Amino acid sequence: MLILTCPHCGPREERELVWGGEAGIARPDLSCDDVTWTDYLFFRANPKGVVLEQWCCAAGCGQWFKVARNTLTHEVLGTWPHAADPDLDALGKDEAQT
Amino acid sequence: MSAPFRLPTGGLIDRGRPLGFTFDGVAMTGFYGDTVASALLANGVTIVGRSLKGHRPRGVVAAGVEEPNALVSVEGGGFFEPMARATEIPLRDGMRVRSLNAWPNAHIDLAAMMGVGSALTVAGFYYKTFIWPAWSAYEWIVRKAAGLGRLPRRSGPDPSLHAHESIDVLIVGGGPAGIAAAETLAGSGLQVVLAEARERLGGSLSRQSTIAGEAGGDWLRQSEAVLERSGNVAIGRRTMVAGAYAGNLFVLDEKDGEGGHRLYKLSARQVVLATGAIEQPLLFANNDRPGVMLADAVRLYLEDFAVVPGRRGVVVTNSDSAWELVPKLARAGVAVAALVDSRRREACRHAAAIEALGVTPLFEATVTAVRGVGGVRGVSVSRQAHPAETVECDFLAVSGGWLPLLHLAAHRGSRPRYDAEAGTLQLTRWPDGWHACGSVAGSASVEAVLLEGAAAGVAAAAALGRSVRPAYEGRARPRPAIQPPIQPMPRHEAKVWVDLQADVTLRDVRIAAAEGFGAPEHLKRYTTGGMAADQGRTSSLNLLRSLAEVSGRDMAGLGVTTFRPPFAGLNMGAIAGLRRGALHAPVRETPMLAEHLALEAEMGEFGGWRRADHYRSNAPDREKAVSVEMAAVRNAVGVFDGSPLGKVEIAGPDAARFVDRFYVSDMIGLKPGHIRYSLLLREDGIIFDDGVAVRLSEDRFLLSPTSGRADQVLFHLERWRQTEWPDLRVAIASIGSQWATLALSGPASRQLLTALGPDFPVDRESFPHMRFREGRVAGVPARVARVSFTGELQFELSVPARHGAALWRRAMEAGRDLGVRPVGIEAWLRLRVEKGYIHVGVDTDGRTLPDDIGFGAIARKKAADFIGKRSLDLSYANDPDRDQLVGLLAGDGAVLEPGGRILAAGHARPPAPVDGRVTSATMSVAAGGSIALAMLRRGRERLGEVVAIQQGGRQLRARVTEPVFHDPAGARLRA
Repeated sequence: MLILTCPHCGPREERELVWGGEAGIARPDLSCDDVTWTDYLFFRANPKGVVLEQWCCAAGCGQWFKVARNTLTHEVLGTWPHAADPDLDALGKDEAQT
Repeated sequence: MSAPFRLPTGGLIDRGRPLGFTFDGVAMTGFYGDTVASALLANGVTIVGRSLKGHRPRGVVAAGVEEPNALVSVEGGGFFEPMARATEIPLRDGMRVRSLNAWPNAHIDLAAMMGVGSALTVAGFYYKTFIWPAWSAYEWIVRKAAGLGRLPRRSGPDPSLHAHESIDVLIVGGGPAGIAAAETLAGSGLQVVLAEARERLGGSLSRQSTIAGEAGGDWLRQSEAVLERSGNVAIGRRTMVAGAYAGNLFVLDEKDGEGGHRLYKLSARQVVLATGAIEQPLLFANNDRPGVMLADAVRLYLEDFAVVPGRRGVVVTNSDSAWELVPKLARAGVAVAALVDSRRREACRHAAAIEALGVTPLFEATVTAVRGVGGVRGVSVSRQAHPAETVECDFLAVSGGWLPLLHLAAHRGSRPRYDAEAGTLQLTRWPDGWHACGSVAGSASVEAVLLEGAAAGVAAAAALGRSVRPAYEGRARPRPAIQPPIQPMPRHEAKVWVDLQADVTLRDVRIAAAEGFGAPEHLKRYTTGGMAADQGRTSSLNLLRSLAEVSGRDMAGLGVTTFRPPFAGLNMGAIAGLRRGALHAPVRETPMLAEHLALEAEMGEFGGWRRADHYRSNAPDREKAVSVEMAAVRNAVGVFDGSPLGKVEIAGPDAARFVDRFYVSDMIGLKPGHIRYSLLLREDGIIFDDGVAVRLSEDRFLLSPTSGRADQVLFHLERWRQTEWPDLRVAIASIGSQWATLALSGPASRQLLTALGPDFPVDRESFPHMRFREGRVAGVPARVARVSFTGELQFELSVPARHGAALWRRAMEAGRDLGVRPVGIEAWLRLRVEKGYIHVGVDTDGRTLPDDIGFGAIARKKAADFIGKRSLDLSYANDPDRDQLVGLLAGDGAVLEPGGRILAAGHARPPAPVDGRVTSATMSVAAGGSIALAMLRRGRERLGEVVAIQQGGRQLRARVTEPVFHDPAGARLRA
């Protein structure tokens, strides 16, 4: 089980949290073409390595926050309030993908 | 009855505390300190159970968690373990022990006598046999034959507890290595847990051996005293570490020895792995006979329990460790008829010492078969350049090398590899923060083990920024050169058991390899080898070895199957903990519960709420009660407890813009005091929920999600607010539990509301349909919505929760002359079917789009973006062949039920393509018969058509209609 540090509540067990998939998925506007829309709906990068995710501190403050997690090792590289825009490259994303 | 195989002296048992117990009904005795297995052996019980498929007699093989055969049910003071390893259960007075998979008992098993199981033993049997005509034809008999043990009728009185802890260092294993690490960390101030699966510390340490210059027993006592005094090392006895997970989280199962469990979820900053190794059996014909035991288990029963498995034994091995057993047996007065070693004499370090005892070892020799059925009568030994000979004996001690218990590291993703020189699996890279020591890391000598344990303690402390002195210092003697083990492969493959618990033979391995299941992961699944409750502890290595042999491949190149948690089976009660009975899935109650019970409500669980299904005070019979309740709503007035209905308030300057982005209908144009019914979609266009939205004021909305989905809707709203539109000035609050809701429904509901004394007018002109009023009713603050779920005139009355029960009583009283009835959820849902109102999740599913239920025009009309809108333009959303909501009116007096399949046009009975499904059904007074809602392909074009419906095993006919059967013009609604 992962222990993630909620930026507002501190370290919390995975079962108190809800996973919300990759962060930073831009929502296209109505005028986009079908492919853009279906890519938005269904396609994710799903990297083997570091990914920036959204998690919700569901049993605590209820706030969504961002987590950089290595999908291969479960190593957590950092957590941030949702409004933050952390630089994954600075966290060694490239090394982790090898 | 005396215990014939108990030695008069010795052991760690408390001879001053004799215990009585029964095995399959026969009274026996043991001592405090015994396990069930040691007590059975002391009493001369050779057959403790029957094998899973072949019902062959089986005896105790091992002394710990690896035991494959001795599975028993144990009943004692207030607890029942349906399936436990006899080697792990501490004996207690009055225990009733029963063998599993045997009837009437292990000794005389009828299935074995009739040979019932033998046909089921071949690899892949299930896959090959039960494929025609259908698995379902065989399922019942296979289910009956499958599995071991019987579940207790009642759960035990003491639920298991769960605990969550976070510590500095977890030491797994309380043998010499783990103790040395713990002693090193004692007094360091670090929070340390030492977990040992058995009742006693010491692991495989022999009490008679010398360790750190002392007798094993003395050393152990002193070390335990050091740990007990330390104040920072907690010792968990009978505590199995069942699994290792990301973030160094561990699951530990602590047994109290009386049937109780405590399950810990423990996160540790550093880990010392000192789990040791498990001895492996050798392969030869009839190697599953009772009396064939692992050599180290024989030693343990002898030293710790003063129990011998027989009077005259043979030891067979391919390594040094089993040689140490010979003098111990001799001292206990047990004859050693032969010591059989597959190696050459030069490879055996102890040869001279053993010969000095008068035992003549047989080198370059192997046991080829065991003689005897219910026990061992002798063994056949084959030796190079000698004729095969028979050695008489009544037990056989086997040692085929050691398997390090590196399973926990493997749970974390480390991949063990077969090392040909060591003849076993090994790990070279451990997970981060783990320090392996002792025989799990390949050490053999006890000095090396202590030094490694101490070093592991130092390393764990250093990683946490602490400097500690190792409890043991010095240099170990260099380890002797390892001789690669020799594993002669036997003939008579059908009689050679590779996995005792899963009942897999060498022939099964050959069949699997020949049929193309020759990869270890395939072999495991095809033969079930390694998949039984013992998790292949004594079989995984031999399975690999056998596979290499039969397929002529190199063992190191085969790879290893994945080790997954749990390390050994966990009791289901321990996993459930307190989450059972009423706490399994707690059900919510409304403030009016006592009123429902007073009216003899039949309560049930609906979407996580305890609600009234119907009221026996209306009629004792369910169907009659439901018709009385429906008639009250149609002709007079019914009162329904709608408190579980979701209530979410949205407030802020951007409230209207925010709400508008969720609904398929326009919400910006909704006027204060007005109500709109609409749908919420998922982003892929599928209907997520429905409900009404009330505009309380310019900047406030009240949403009413479906009762069972209120939490999900709240989560959905909040997620979009935080992650997508944080710029909108809006706040969301769930106020559902603050309000009790009564729905007054029926033509007399206005009179009933008037009788309750509202402080605002409720006449048709002042308070029309789909309007909302705030004021006071019956003297308490009230929010009243004129909405309807039944198709009748209806007022939904919400008051602060504490007033709910009183208001309910007043409504029932005030409505007496109006013919009021309490209405349960069954009548409520049938009334809406008659009106053609959908229930999301019942009439819709994970494919239903707004247009499918007649909401297409509304969704298209709204120009502004809302969640799911763009998906409604995708090609699949506009396929004319989609299922659409229709009504069905049954013909010929048939009664429609949900779940019926509508057959394609032109088909009266199956086989036929399916064109749709019946989603809800009821008897309708308005329609004069059985009606239903259904999703039907191109349904709206097919009104008037008669369709055939496959329902249960029968065919019915029904006419396709509009979904609304009651008051299609809505005059009653707007009355």
